[in-house]
Amino acid sequence: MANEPILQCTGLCKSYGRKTALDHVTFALERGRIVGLLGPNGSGKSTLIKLANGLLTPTAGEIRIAGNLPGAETHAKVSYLPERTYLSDWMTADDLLKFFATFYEDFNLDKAAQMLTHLGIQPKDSLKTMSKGTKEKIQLVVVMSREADLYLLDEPIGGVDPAARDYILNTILTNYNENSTVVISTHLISDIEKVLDDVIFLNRGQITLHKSVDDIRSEYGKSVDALFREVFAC
Amino acid sequence: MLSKLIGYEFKSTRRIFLPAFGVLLLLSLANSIFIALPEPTLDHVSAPFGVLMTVYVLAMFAVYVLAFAYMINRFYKNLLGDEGYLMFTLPARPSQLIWAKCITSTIWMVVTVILCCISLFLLATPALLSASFEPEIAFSDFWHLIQYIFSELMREYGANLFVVPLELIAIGIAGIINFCMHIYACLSLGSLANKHRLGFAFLAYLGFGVAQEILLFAGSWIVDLTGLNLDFNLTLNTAAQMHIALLGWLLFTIVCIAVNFVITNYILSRHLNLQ
Repeated sequence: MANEPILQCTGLCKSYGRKTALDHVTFALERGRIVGLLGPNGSGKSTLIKLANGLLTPTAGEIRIAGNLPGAETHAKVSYLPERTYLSDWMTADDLLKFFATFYEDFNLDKAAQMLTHLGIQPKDSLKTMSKGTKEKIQLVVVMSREADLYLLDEPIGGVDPAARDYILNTILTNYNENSTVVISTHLISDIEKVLDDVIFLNRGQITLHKSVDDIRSEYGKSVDALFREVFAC
Repeated sequence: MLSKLIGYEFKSTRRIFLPAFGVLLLLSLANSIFIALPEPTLDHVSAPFGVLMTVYVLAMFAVYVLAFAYMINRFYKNLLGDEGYLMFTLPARPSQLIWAKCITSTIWMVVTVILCCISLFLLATPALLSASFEPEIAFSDFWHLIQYIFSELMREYGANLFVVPLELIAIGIAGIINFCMHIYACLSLGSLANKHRLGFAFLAYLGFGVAQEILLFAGSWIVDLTGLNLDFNLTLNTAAQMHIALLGWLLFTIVCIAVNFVITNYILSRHLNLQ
């Protein structure tokens, strides 16, 4: 259903042994928003995104994508950028594009090829010979070349230089569908604040704030970055 | 989706297997040339021949190790390692990911066995032909010998001559599938641990081995106790007994495949925890 939340968590808990990563997290995201999932290191951001992708199993509660539990059906709707490199080194850039075109019906091969050309990457370039930063950019290119309902981007600007951050943010903004939702997990708030509609503050596995950026500015009279520094001050 | 996944698996693995198979065939050809040399000439090149034959034996051993290592590596690295972040977010069910890996590994293992047979045949060809150095006669004698053995076996065993090898081939293929699926089940059980996942996978392998021995012992004890074995021997002829034994073995292997698959699929579907 179109008015169903694209992402909904209900009493979601995740523990690794005795360590609690997520503690009764409940929230819902609507379609057509850019959402910042913000929190310090170890606050549970990556865990939440991995749960949405079915890469982890909840300890309690549930997470749904457009009303469905994570599975093959939701994977066709979600475009996921993990915080690590998941590419096979034997592939060339062209192999990777063909791989995505084979498995995802919503993958726009021409768009991806154009973006790689713009980055100066040749189709026959081997992934093995590329730097970590270039691999991260290629991952972003293939992820943003899908016409998905939900983009889950885990630390997309975490490991790159400021110039590359601008390129990445611009790629995200110019390539997502207006009806889709983009969730960007990061602790580098000042860089992404200008593109966000909503923010979620996550601290020690719990949601401490879920508001629109406009509401934060009018209610607290400060930027999201300033509020974050105040809330998470050590 | 399964065919796409299998296609991807072959593309990922063929760059390793095809060159390895090529090297093995080249080595067997090179050795067969040495074997075809007349005795006085062979004596002069005995040292390089010895080295080449040793390399060939090692290469034969290496392709089996390669097939085994790749079966484990593809599952562990591509599904339970960082690449799992890509594979488990494809619009595919975990069962399809498992079968794609299993089918591809089984095919590579079967091809390895067939290729080793071809390689041995290549190696033996000069010896088969060298009896009189008259290839036409040698081939003719060889062919007559095959025909004679075949007719004698047909007279003795009839249709079983075809059925039994087919049953054995089916058991062999099922055995390879079960071997792969068993390793996958152990690796999946190991992945449930937060640390030392390969160590726990090895423990699971040992645990399965002990459980299997106990079950087999209990089974044979029950058969002895109930006298089923006696009835079986009294009422059936030798050929029927052999078929029942082979089909029973096949059925048992298929049940083992099912058990190992259910364990692997359950863990990867319900308890996946990629770190």
